[in-house]
Amino acid sequence: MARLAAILVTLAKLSWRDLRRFNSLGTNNFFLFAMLTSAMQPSNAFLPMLLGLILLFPLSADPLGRVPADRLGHWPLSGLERIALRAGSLLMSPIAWITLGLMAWGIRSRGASLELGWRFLLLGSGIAFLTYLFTTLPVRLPQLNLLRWITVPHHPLGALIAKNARELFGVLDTYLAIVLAIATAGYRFFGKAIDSEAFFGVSLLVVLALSTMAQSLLALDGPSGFVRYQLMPLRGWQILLAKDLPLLALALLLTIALSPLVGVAAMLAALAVGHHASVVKPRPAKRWRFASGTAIEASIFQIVLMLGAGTVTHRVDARLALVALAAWAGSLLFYGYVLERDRA
Amino acid sequence: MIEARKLTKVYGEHTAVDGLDLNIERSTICAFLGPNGAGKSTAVKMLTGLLAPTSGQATVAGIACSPATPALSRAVGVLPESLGLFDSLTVEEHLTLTGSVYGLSAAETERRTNELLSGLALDHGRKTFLDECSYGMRKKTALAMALLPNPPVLFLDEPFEGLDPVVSRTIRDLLVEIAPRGVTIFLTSHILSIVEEIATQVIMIRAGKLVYDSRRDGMASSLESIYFDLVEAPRAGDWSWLGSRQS
Repeated sequence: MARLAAILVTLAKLSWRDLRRFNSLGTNNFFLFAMLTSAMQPSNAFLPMLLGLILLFPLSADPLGRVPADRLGHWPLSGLERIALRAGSLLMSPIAWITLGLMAWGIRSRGASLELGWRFLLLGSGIAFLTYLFTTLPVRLPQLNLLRWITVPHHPLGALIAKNARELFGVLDTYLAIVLAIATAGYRFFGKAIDSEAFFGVSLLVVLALSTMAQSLLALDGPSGFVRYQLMPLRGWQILLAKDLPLLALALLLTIALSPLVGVAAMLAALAVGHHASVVKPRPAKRWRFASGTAIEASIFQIVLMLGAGTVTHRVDARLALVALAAWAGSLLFYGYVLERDRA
Repeated sequence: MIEARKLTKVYGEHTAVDGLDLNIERSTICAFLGPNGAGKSTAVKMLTGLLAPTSGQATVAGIACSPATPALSRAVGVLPESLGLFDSLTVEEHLTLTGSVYGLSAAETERRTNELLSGLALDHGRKTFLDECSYGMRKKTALAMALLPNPPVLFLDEPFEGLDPVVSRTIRDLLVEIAPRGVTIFLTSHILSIVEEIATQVIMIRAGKLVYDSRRDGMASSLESIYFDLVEAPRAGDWSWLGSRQS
């Protein structure tokens, strides 16, 4: 019993530490914007709810999966203890903690949210099942791994661009942007007629969701990947360009049914600002998390410039997108030079 | 082929590499030995342009060793300590990336990739993403990346550690075969038996300083005894609790 308790305590500790890694959300552009808008208009909880829904996917991961399978297999546990561990580990999931919290709140407020607790548990379980399918099926059936659909061409930049495009799909920000874009595009084609201004607004939101990644372009490569860049006979600007192009292409693709020029102009501005943090203050990142910026001030500066670039392109003159293009090109060359200079 | 004069790297108050002088000729298999933390990896990083020296100079294939020098990158093949791999690429795609970055044609890249994957027993896992690979597979992938562009100088940081005996033997044979063709190999390793078998020059460092540099045929006694005398003697411990009835 003591060893079972020791393992469960360790699992709880690992879950808690993992949960604390979500504090990176504090410097995520979309999170900051969502908090700001819901603070200004408390009835509008759409953006925070959307964020919360996407967050449920990593939160619903199997807590027992945090113990390496080889280690778990070697521990001297009886069959009964293993069953108890499997059952007990479910309580170490943040989904279980939130459910219990909602139920406790429901009991205190005389049943008001007891049902909410059950509904949340149902939602969390459904998402956990989807996450399980999403993570295990591609391992068993490699042809189902969507990343393989992005092929690596025989071209120095093309190969890096393909690699970086795949990395975009390891960050939750991309899925948030996809949900926003698909929902709005679907509404445009199948729903009621809506004001074209809404498409401009959603285009900005889509790019806002992607923009924090512009501050952490080298984050998913980690120290090992950075060593490989140092060994490659490539210039700094080429490495950054291979990072920028997939983000620009994704911004264009997701806003193509909305306001593509706004999307691209805003993304160019986000990248022009984001190069600084990506190169000068690189931070490691974990997969299946939201990207994080370096500081709230930097995120606010990026948001303002990005929204400004999108707005003037839409409201003043479409040719002003060229200013964003020039700023991005200048930033690319300058921070490419900084990347080379700081390689040592 | 590899030269260094008073190569030094200082981190704060710690001198990782202290006035290292090297002279390694073409076609040499040079083993660079020393205990953990002796400064081997730091020296390799400076020689491959990953790290700028605090003082001193070095050249590899006549090219000055300084960071962000594409000519140096093209002249050396490196198996770095961290392996330098990307989780989002498969084993085969790492070689495609390397071939294209180093300017090889698609056909030549494919031909070399197939030979390397087969020789290093990686062909069964060629479509596997690196985050699903074992440590041995990751190491072999990084080694294949170093070999694929056919550079005149190879820097291999612990190439034999963590590999199965067959692949280890294959790599040993490969290095012995390519050195006389003009390839200079600079490797670090803790496996003295392999080093003794293949190295034609042995260099030892301790606490960042060079303590031994000799051609293999000029060595007076066994490599192991020289290492234990000059670098670090084996330590004895009181392990009486091991094997006792106490759990």
